[in-house]
Amino acid sequence: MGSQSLCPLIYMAEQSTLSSLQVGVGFRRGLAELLLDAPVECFDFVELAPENYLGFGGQKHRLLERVADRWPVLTHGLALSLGGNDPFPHDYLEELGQFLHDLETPHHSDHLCISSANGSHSHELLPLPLTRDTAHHTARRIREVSSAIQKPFAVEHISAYARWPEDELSEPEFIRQVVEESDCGLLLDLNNLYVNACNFGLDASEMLEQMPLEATVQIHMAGHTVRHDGLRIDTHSEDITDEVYSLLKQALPRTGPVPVLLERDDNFPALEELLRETHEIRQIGNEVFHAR
Amino acid sequence: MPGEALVRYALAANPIESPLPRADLYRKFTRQIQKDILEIAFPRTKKVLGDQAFTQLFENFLEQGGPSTLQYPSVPDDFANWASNLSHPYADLMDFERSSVRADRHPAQIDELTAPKNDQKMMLNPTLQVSSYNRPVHQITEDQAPPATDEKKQYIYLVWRRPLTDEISRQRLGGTLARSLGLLAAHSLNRSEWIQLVLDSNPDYDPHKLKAALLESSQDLIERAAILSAP
Repeated sequence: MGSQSLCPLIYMAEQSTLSSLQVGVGFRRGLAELLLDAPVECFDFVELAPENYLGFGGQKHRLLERVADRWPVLTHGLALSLGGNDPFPHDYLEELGQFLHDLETPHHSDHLCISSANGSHSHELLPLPLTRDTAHHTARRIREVSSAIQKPFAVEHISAYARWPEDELSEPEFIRQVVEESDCGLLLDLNNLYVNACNFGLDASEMLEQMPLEATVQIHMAGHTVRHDGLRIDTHSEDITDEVYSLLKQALPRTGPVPVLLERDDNFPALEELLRETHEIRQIGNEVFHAR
Repeated sequence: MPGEALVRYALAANPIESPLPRADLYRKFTRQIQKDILEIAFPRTKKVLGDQAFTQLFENFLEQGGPSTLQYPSVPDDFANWASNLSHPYADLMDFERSSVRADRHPAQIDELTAPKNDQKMMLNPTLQVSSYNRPVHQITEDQAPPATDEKKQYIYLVWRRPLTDEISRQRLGGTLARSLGLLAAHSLNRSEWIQLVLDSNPDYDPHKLKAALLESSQDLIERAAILSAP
């Protein structure tokens, strides 16, 4: 991948010649000023977590207004514990629905995970047993959420560091059952897919082929760290790897030109570095869609 | 359901049986993310208790269920409530610090609100948090012995967020002024109407002294945006 230092304006000029692939960035507090100072054309959209803005006044509310004035906003939640058993708080879903309505976001997404039990919240994305019953249960809850927030819903498959002894499905099989039973969209996270393939000794390209890519509404791209024992941790603190770019090239012909998001949650780089990554994503989009 | 066992494992202080390989990694992540937000929300409590005691308190919180909110930014609220129900010796300090968090994130949009002119109706800053304790919590620091609790005494504090700057301001005030501000919360009044109502409500006080005190205190609270003009 390119490593030369290019200024934002060069990237923007190149962007206009590239594909119609919409490329955005995850709006994080640590990136806020950097993104808001950047030319608006650098990104086609941003994505944010509603939990960090819902019910906030003051600085966060102003930040949200500034962001929504500049870019279309996609929303991606962290809190719903879709595979859990705890009932969804009705008032929360109502507030969330209003928030999404006000932002005019086309869909909302959250994670295929469990994070709460018996009313206690871990606030961590914990893996679900890959069983038919869990997929069925999760699909039912997704339909409940989508109906309550009155928005199309999509699920993101998470990075995992362990598998349950109870597993009876492969991860792509599990995801396919959830997506088909709930009739929801797929948020395809290519870094998560790659991390899981490495952590469980699978072939990432084969995994990708087995995913329900026809349901993809959005793609996430990010980097990860590798521990001393080889375990890959989904930190979003490093550059996207070449392998994950390759997966994007493999996925796009089947997903079509869905919005692609660059996630960076820590170890925040300079704008030029972010733009180098979005540029790479646009180049791949250009190769895939203009070569047809 | 097996997934719930992992949630319980991640929150337990002394988990016995790991429900799946690398469960400890998830436990570490879970604890770190929650501790991070509590350390930011309760900096003085952490200093006063010390790292070890604060960590132990946090561990006990998780052991006894941890956050009941699905909104991560509301975890400090849960923590302060839990400590209060436990009658923790520093529950008052935690509540005091929690007031700042609440004022800071209060949903009211106040940037358009300005200081009231002479005859304008006044209102309390909507982000205002009122709290009352049996000791001067603002004097609790890591450098000195904590002030004693006196059940007969009441220390009242206001905490609010200022428009535009988002600065968090605090004010300790006496019972009379607190009750007087309560009148302002209940009635739409300009400054002279408010002072007259307070005087009428406190016939036993020296009216000249009370009026002077109200003028001075309200001017300070207006200048610091605790009192704003009613829209």
